[in-house]
Amino acid sequence: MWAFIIRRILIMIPMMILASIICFVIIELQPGDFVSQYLDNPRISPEQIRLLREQLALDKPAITRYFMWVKGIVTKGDFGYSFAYQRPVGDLIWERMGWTVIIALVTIALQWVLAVPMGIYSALHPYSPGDYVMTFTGFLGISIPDFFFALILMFFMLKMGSTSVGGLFSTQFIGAPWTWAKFLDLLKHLWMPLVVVGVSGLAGLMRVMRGNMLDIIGSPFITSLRAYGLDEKTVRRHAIKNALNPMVSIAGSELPNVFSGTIITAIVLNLPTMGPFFYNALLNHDQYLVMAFLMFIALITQIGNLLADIALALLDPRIRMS
Amino acid sequence: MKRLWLVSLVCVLLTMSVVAAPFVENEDLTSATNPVLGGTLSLLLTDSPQSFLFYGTLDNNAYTVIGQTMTGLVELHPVTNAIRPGLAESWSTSADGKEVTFKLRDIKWSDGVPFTADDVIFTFENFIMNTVAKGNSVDRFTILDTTDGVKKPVKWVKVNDKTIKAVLPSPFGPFFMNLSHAYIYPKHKLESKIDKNRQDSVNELWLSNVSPKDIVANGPYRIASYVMDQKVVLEKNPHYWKVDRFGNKLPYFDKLEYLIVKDPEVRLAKFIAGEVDYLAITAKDFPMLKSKELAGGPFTVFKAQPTQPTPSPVHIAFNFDVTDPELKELFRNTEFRRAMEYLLDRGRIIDEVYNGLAIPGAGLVLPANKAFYNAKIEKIIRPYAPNKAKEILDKLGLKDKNKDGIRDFASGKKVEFTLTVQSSPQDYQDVALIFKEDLEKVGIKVNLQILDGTLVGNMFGAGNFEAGIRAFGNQPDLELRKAIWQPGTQLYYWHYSALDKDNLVAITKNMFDWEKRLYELFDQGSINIDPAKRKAIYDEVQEIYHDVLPVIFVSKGMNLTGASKSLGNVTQDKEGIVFFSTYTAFRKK
Amino acid sequence: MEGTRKRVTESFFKHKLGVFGLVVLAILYLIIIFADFIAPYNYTTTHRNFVYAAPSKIRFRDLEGKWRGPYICEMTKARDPITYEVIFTEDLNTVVPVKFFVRGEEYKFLGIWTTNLHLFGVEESPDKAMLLLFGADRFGRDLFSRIVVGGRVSMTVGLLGTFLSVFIGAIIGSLSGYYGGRIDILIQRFIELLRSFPRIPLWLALAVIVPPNWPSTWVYFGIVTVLSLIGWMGVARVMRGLVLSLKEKEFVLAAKVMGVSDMKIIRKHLIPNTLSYLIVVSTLSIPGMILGESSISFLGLGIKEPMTSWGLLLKQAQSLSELESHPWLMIPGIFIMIAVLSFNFVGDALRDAVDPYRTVEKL
Repeated sequence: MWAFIIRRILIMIPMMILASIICFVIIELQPGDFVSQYLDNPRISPEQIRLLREQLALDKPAITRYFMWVKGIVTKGDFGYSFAYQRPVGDLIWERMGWTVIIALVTIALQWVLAVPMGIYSALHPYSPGDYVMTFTGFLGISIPDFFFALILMFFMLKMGSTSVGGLFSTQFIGAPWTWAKFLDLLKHLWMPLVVVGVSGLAGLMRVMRGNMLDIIGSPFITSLRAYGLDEKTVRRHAIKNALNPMVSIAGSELPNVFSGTIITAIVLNLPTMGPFFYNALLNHDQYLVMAFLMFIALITQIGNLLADIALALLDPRIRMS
Repeated sequence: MKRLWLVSLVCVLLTMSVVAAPFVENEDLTSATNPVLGGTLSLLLTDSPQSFLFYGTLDNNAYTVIGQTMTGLVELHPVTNAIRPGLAESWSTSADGKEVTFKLRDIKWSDGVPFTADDVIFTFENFIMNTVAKGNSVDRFTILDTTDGVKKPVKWVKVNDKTIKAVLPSPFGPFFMNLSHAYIYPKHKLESKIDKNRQDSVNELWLSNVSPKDIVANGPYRIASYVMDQKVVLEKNPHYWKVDRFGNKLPYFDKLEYLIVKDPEVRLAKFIAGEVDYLAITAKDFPMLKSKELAGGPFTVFKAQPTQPTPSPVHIAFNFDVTDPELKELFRNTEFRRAMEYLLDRGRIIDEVYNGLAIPGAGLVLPANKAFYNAKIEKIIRPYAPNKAKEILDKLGLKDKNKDGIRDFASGKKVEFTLTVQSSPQDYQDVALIFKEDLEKVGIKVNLQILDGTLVGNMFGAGNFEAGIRAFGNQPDLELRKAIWQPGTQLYYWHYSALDKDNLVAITKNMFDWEKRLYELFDQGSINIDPAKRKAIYDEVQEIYHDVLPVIFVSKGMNLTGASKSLGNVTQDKEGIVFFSTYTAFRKK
Repeated sequence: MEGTRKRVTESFFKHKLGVFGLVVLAILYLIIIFADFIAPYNYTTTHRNFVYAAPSKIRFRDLEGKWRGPYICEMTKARDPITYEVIFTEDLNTVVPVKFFVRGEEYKFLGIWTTNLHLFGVEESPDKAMLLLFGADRFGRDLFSRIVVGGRVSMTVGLLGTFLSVFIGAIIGSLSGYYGGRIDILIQRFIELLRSFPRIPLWLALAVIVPPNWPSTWVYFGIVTVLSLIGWMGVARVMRGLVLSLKEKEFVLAAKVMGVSDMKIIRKHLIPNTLSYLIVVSTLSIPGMILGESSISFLGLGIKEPMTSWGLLLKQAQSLSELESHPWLMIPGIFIMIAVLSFNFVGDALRDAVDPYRTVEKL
């Protein structure tokens, strides 16, 4: 087991290197660079633009810049500076990490806590009214585009006179010390992004869980368990355990998904997370910031997959044997 | 003897109080007779400011925040853009116009340190004239010396702590206008932080992670705190030197909070929910907000004559250097461009794209800009007249020979071109769509090419387009837009063969006669200081632009704003101009 | 085999929701094939006098109570002088009958025949009266016509993209799981590498590689193909997990012992057993593609004028003022939901029908 884990960790290193090359290529393929946004501005003379390019080393060929960046990481642990903010990208990402992680984890937790029982219930009572209601709400959740959903929610909240619209806090609580009131204010704002982001994922997870359960329940495996004379509760336990199998692989991919897949929602609802920050950096061609973010996601994906594989092996002894 | 002594003492005291007299703000901004002091004003930013040093960044949100905390020797009235004293309480110009002596106001920085001429010289040396400072203004203070044709920088000479002299190579009309953007920074806080061996170290000063206590201001507010990506809080500057006409120290508000909201719909939602006091509104949102106001909403929506640079007025450009030789000949033909203006249905565009909330043309100078607006252009602007256009096109020999509904050149090729426009903001596309429809009705085929903004910007910058739609904001003085509208400059993008890109010098021999005239006029406008003469010069510029049409100006959106009803000193005069400033508003009881 | 097909079809038709979904999809596809004919107006023609017009009120009895059959009234447009809102006043004295098989704006049927026959509409000129079932947009273009034509893009892209990605994903995933060892590791690493990248920057980058002078449809299919090439990875990963578990089952071991070739085992034994999962995945992917298209249009990277799709139409409703003043612009969203729901119902029913072990019982 341990050999397996260590091997995987070692493989991550060349993977990250490859990832960094791909990231760099993607960014280079975009037309223009950081300085392009100033071309339109008459306050800035062409001389200044040329100087700016030189300062940011944007006039050097791509390969040179890539190796300059790698050298910076290897020798100084320096992941580069943001062109716009002129501060190390590491600092900028770290500043926004807190909220991103919290919202991501809460969303995932909520999704799973709700989806698995719902899926099980649905499978155990198929075609019952409960099943229909859950199926229907699930479907509704996945058919609505998330940014649209966010807009409609905002619209109805405003119509009802609410002022907790957008962002995580009301103005008076931003930057204020933590109190019970502030926590309540947070909840009042947080439910919207959780609902918008969670609902679509929830339905998908629930459907898959339900499908898996139905598969298992109908299989001869279950029939044979019953034939053994096991009570229903134990049989059910076995069924659930087996149904969870493919879900584990999905869980591995949840983490990077929640980080990057919710960018649009975070922009629409104005959350202080990495998503909108990254999107802006992308539009501005703030190269090193984008690279750092992409590398971060790449790392999280690898770790997530590793964890999923470990969990899969733990859950399914047959895989461990192979 | 004693009496003489007493009298002279009184005289001295009087002169001292006169010398240290604060600036009394105009009545147009402080119309309310019972202002309430205290409270917080809430406004919006579209993104986190990237720096707190004006000269270290090119970020608009940084400018918004810094604009509340810093100011220059002279200032512009926040609404009318009239020039008035700022950190300098008065000045006198020498007879030859080359020397301006400024008497500096006897005031202190927000940390109590006195403001002196040393601060001015420090700012100019290290920031404004520093070519490697990101937001430098070297160009604006490097003036052509008319005696030898060489551009030289303005020199600053300290006379004493409270007097400073600017020595110009030649008289320069826009000098004061440029000074209004030259915010002065404190030497005592920043000098020690600059690395003398690395001039670009100035770009690292007062970045977004600096402690607010280190930031010192000379404007109405100073930075109190900053919660990254969420809000910037400013507080009243205790040493601010403006008072209202009742003797109250300005600003009335204790705090000014900027909420950072990236998405425009959330900004609107926050305004409607009452979290934000003042907001610029788009034409699209105006009817909904106005209806809400009439239904008893807690805010007032104003429709005003345009006075601000944004929303930028849209124009249509035809590339004089387009690769196809037949199109090139056609686009260079002034009669063709006039026909294009006859096909531009401004009325419909204003009605459908801007909800009726825009004025036609106004691409160079705004009608509200009394100092420079030339009313004659209203007679030159051509109305929507497709028949006149058809006449011209027929006369140019462009007839539909093969009856496919599209006119043809003499060679038999279809008269067709690509119209390039960026996908956002939406109104650019909409204007393109309407224009395309009208052109196709008279037999000219237009291929709409809607692309990402950066891509389009690059294409325009490389002269790689056939026809395009773009917009540049208005400034109160055309000198500030010289880099766009003067032929042979970096942003005169529809005729790049008139610019030597490597040496950044105009190639006058590649210009048309009217372009040569425009070139001359702009240069003259720079060196003249007599306002009447400058107006005459820019009057002619406007007339040429509207007659010969290097580009066709479409329309300019009106100033639409929303303000909370609880805000005092937000007024609209009979000409429709809205008066509001962050340091004269207050919260009504 | 005969028996299986019969059993599957019978089973499917017993599933009421599935049948419902199938019928809805059939209707939708029929509509988009005959889109130009069914739409009363051309989807790009602007009509100045009906900018932001609300859906037409269809009346049957006139002012005196007399039965007239379905008709609409002429409308005049004005702008409120204070709010600048567009206001329409109906002239209730006019009667503009709604007819079938009407001559209207020209179009090319199936891209070949030019005709101007429409399924229904009014004969009056669009300056005075327009039959706007779903209202009009900012340029007075009939939203119903635009939805019907836009459906072409939205409905076909989902099918193609999903089929491609599931096909690729299933094969690669099962190869990876079945063979294990080095092939597995290689494929896994490769998948991980590609999946590390969030979609949005890939989109921005790809939106740019595509030459700007390609016709809009090519651009779109190009981008969709790429998106599907990214989408296969999720399928592959889960397939691998399933195959890993399946391959140790007795019937697979038995087949191996009998000397059945690997490819045959994968084809005939492993994949069919994962079929239900693949179906669930497909039905969940098509809607994802349709939704993906709307996200891309939202970012301004997908379909652009003059082409249209449901996603692009929704983009124009994306503002609080539009929702408040012109809520009918949200109707394309309802179509997206209907299509998505129908696909899900059908997929569900198919899954239930196909699984031979399906004995629906309560545990």
